[in-house]
Amino acid sequence: MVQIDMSTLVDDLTPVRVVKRGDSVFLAVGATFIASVMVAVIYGMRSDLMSGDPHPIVIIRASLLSLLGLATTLAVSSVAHPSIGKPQNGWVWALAAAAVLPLAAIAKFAYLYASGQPFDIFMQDFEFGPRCLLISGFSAVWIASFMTWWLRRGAPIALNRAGWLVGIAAGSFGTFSFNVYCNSISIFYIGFWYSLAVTLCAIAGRLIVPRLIRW
Amino acid sequence: MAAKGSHRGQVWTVRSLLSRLGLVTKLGLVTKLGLVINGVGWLDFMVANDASLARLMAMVQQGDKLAYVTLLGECKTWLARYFSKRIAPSAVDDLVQETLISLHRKRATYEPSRPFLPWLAAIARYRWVDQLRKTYRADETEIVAELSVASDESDVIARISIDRLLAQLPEKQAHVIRMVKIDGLSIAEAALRSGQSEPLVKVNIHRGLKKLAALVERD
Repeated sequence: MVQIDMSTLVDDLTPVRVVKRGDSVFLAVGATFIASVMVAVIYGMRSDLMSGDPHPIVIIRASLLSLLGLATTLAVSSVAHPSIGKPQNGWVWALAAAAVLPLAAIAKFAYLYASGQPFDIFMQDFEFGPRCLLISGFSAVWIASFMTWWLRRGAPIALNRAGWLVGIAAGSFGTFSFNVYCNSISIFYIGFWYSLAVTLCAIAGRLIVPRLIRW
Repeated sequence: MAAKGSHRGQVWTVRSLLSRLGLVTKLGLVTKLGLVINGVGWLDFMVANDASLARLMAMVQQGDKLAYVTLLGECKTWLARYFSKRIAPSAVDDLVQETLISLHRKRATYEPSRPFLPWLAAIARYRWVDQLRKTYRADETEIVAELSVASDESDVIARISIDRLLAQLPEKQAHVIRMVKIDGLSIAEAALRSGQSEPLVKVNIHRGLKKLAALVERD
């Protein structure tokens, strides 16, 4: 390796602005807001949201997604600062809460299947699922780019963990953006496509982000 | 930890820094840092506690070069001791230097309200694991190329205090890693002694090193 004298480091010293944890939340929430506005402008907004009286399931899914996004973003901000000790795991509870959506879909499906009732009506929006993936994915990439840029300013020491967290956070916020347009209120649709979008984003984050933030 | 200044001028420079930190008493006995100034003006750093280093680091973030000189000296000593328990003496200097460069590049990530040494230790461990990964990658290339392992290969695995880690591997993996990466045997020799086929020896080394890197990161 190239030998660098300590005096070189001293000569190179300049004042720095401390990397603050709140900055990552500010960036992620700001990027999510812009993504949501863009989705609403390009694709339109749900009519019940426009009227200020959203359907309860829209409120629930938006709350769960924003909660998961915020919790994982806070964990990302923690990852960027080197430390020894138990990592922040509050986001796991938010993930468990968000898992209610796919679990509810599975429970409902199992009940209908066992009782022999038709469930075609619940599947009517299913064909629009790829659109959910596409819009959520684009929004997630937009949000993740800010989070990754911020992480590069930090000093993450658990790269794989950081990748997962960025993926889940960006996936949650990206799907939240799609949620302002999504017309479906089917639990099957939400349980399957929303969960798939967040899962794919998490996997992409794990595969891509560590390479970008290694230092 | 021992850092001494032989010139009276240096002493007073450091002392003025300590005074700015509020650590010098009227008698010239610096108790918080554990410093003792003797009659001829020598400084003995007995114990640099975390709070003092944290304050120095906060000053460094403001661009204070005098504080930086002191901090780098303290960190260099601390890191040398930290790495001496983990790698061979010949590798300590390089790793200390790499870590100091990382400290310099990532100094904005230290939060003055938090302890300093855990922050430094985390960076040190990251650099150590990174070196382990580099070795692992080199080893992987070697296996693909089907080259025998040279006995004088520079290998972090062979230099770290490895017993505790190897104990967590399956016996077959630990056994061949010891033979090839520490004792310097060739793949063929290790295969002969262990009773495993040569491809199996390579696979076990590959898997064992990968697991070692994961263990170190998780530890």
